[in-house]
Amino acid sequence: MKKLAILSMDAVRIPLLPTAPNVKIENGEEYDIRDKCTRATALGQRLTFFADELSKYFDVTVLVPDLNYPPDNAIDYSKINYTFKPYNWFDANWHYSEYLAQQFLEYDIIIMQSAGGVGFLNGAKLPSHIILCIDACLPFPVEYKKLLDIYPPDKQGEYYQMGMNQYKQLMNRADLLIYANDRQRNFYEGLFIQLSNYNTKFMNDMQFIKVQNPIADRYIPERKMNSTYQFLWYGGIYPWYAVDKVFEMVDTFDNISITFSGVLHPRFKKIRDNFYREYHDRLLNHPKISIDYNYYDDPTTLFSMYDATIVMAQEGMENSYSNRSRILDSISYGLPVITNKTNPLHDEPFLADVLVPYTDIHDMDSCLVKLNDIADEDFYNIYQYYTSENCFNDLICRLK
Amino acid sequence: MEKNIAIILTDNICDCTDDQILFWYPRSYRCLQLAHYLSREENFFVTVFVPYFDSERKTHVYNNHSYETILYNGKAAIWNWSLELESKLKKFTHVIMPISQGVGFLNIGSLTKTNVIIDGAYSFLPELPGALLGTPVKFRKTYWDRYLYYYQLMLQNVNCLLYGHDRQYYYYEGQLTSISKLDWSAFQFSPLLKIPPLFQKTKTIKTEYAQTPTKILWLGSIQPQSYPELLIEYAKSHPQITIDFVGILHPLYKKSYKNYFKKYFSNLPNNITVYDNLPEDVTNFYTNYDVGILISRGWIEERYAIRNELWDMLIHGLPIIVNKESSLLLEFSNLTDSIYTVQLNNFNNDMDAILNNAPLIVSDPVKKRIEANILSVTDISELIDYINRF
Repeated sequence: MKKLAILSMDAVRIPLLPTAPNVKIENGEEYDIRDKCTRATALGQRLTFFADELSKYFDVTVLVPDLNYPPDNAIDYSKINYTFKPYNWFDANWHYSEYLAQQFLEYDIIIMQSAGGVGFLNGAKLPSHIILCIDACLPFPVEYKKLLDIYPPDKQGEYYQMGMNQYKQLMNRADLLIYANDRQRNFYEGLFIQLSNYNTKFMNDMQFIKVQNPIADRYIPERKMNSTYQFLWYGGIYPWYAVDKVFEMVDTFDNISITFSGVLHPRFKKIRDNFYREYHDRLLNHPKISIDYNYYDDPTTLFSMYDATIVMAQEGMENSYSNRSRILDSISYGLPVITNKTNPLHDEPFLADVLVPYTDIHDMDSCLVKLNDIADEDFYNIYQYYTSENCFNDLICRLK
Repeated sequence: MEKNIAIILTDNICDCTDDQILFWYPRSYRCLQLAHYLSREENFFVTVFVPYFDSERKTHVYNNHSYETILYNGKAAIWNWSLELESKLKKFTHVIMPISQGVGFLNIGSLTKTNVIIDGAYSFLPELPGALLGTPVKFRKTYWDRYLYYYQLMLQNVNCLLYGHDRQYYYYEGQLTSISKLDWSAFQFSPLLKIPPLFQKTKTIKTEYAQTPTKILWLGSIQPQSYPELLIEYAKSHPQITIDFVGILHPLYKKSYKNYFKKYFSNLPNNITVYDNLPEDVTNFYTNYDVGILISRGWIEERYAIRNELWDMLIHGLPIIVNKESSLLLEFSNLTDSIYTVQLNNFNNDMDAILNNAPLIVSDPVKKRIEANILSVTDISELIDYINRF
C-alpha cells in the first residue's frame, strides 16, 4: 500500500480520548487543548475529508503542526484509519525545514494545501520520485496580499514578494493540482501557464483534478419557520466578508434578525484583533443582532434554530473563487444559504437549488420568496451527489 | 470627445479571400469586424494597420470601408520593437491589438500615453507549446522563456483585455494575478471585457437534414493540436460514411503537416477525400454535408480556443461534433441537440452513438440564441462604452 502524507498548516480535528488532558502547555502558558488541537478551520475540515476517504486506499499520515498536536496517548484512533504525526511548525513556516524534509522521505505521495507558507520550500525541493499534489482549493495569490494588511505597510511589499516567490517554486514542482470548483481550474491554468517552465504538461489536462468537499446528510427535518426570519452568520469574520450588508438587511427589513455564531476563532488573534474589533461594538449594540459565543462540536442544535444562513462577502476575486465551507456545512444540515450571486458554488451541480443569490438589498424580497420555495428534495439530491466516494473518485484513481 | 483608434492586424492577410481570413486568420477577422462596428460610431475615427511581410506584396486594398488603412512592416515587429510602429501609433488615443505570435508585443508594452486594449479571444500561450514543436528540442525552453517575457511585458501595459468566452475570463484573471497586475485589491474594477465571437451570416442556411447522416465535413487547417488520424481510423472501419477534409493546409502550419500529419493522409480509403485548400465559392457549401467535425488532442489549447470553422458551421445550420472540453459548450450549454461531443478515449463509441441519433440538426433554440447573442452588433456596446469613458 502506498504511503501518503497530508501536510496540515493548522489544526485539524484530532479525536481526543476522554482521558486527554484539558490543557496544552506552550512556552509556559496553558491553553485549552480543544482550542489548540481540535478546532479546525475550513482548510482543516477539508483535510479531514481527504484523510477519511484516502485512508481507505492508502496508508495515510496527517502531519500536524506541533503547536496543534496533543500528547500521543491522548488521541482516540478507534474511529479513524490513519495516524497523526507532529512537525515543527516554526521550522517550516516560510522556511526550508530539514526536519520536515526527512519526514517527507518516508512517503510516496505528499498532499499539501497551498494556503500559507508552511512547507512551500520543502514541497518545491521534494525529490522527483515522490508525487506532490497541491490542494489549491484556496487561491493563495488572491487572498495573500489582503492578509498582509496586518503587517506594517513598509513590510508588506517585501513579504508579498517573498511569499509569491515561494509559491511559484512550489507550483512549478507540483505533479498534480487539486481544485475545488470549475472557475478555479481556469484561473490556475492561466496562472500556471505563466509561472512554469516550458514542458508538455501545459499541453494536456492530466495534472488537474477536481475535488469538491463532500456534503454529508445531516438534514434537520423540522426547522423553525415563522413570518419573521431568523438568519445565522456562521463562522469567523475575515477581511473579505461584507458585514455591512448584513447591517443593511436588518435595518431595512423589520422581519429579519440575525445571530452571529463562531465569530471568535480561538486562534488567529492578529486577524481577530485587526478586523473583528471594528464590528464588535456595532454587533453587540444592534437590537436585532445577537452574538452566540458558544463553540459547537455538533452544531445540529444551532442550525435547527434558524431559517437560513447568511454568507456575505465583498465582490471581487476572493469571492469569485471561494469554495466556502461554511456554505457547504450549512447545506449539510439542510439550511439554505443567502450568499453573493457571484459565488462559484452557484455553478456547481444541484447547489444552486438551495443557494439564494444576493446582489444588493433590492434582491431581498425575491430572496425571501425563493427561501420558501426550497424543498427537502433539493437537499437530498445534493447529499446523493456529493458523497465522499464521488468527490474523491477521480483523485483516488489517479493516485493509485 | 473624438477618439482616434488604431486597430493593429498581425497576420499576413495580403491576397487572402474573406473566407481565408475567417478560417486561417481568425484574429484578423475579429479585428476587422471590430473596425467595422467601431467605425460606425459618430466620434470614433478608426485606422486599421495592415502588416506586410513581403515588400513585393504590400499592396493590399481595403477600400469601401468607413475606416482607413495603413500598411506597416510586420516582419520588423515580430518579437521586436518597431520604430515605424511606434511613430505611427503616437497620434492615437486607443490601440486595439490581438494577442498573436509576437507581432507588436514590444511596441504595445512600451506605449505610455495610449489606452491599450488587447484582444485575447484567440489566446496565445496555450497555442505556444504546439507552435514550438517545429523548433529544435534544445532551444524550446529558450524560445518559451523569451516569448513569455515579451508577452508579460505587453500584458503589464494593458488597460483593457477583451475575451471571447466565459472560461477565458478566469484564465486571464489567473494570468494577470501571476504578474501581480491583479490582486485582491482590484475588486472594484476589472480590466476584462467580454466581446463574444463576431460573425456574420453570409452563406446559405442549411434547413434540411438527412435521416441517415453519412456525409461528414472536416473543415479547417491541420494544426499541431488537430487529431485527424482518429477520424481517419474511424472512417476505415465505417465504409458507409464519407468524410471530406477541406482546407487542411494552413500557410503557417505546413511544416507540422509535412513532418507529422502527412503520413496519415497517404493511402486513404475510398470514403475519405482531401482538399488542401478552402473552396472558392462557399455558397451552399454546408448544405452538402450532414455534420461538421473538428477534433483536437485535448491539450490545454482546446479549452480556450475559439474555432471559427465550428462557429461558422453552426451559424449556417450545420450541426457539429467537437471535443467534450470545447468552449462552445459553455456558450450553448445544455443544447446537445446541435453540438455533439466525443471523448477521445471513447471516440468510436461516441461517434457511433451520434451518427445513430439521426437526424442531426441545429435546433431552433440554438438558432435563436445565435441570432440574439452572437450575430447582434450590440455585442460590442460595452467596448464602445469603455472607449468613450476612457
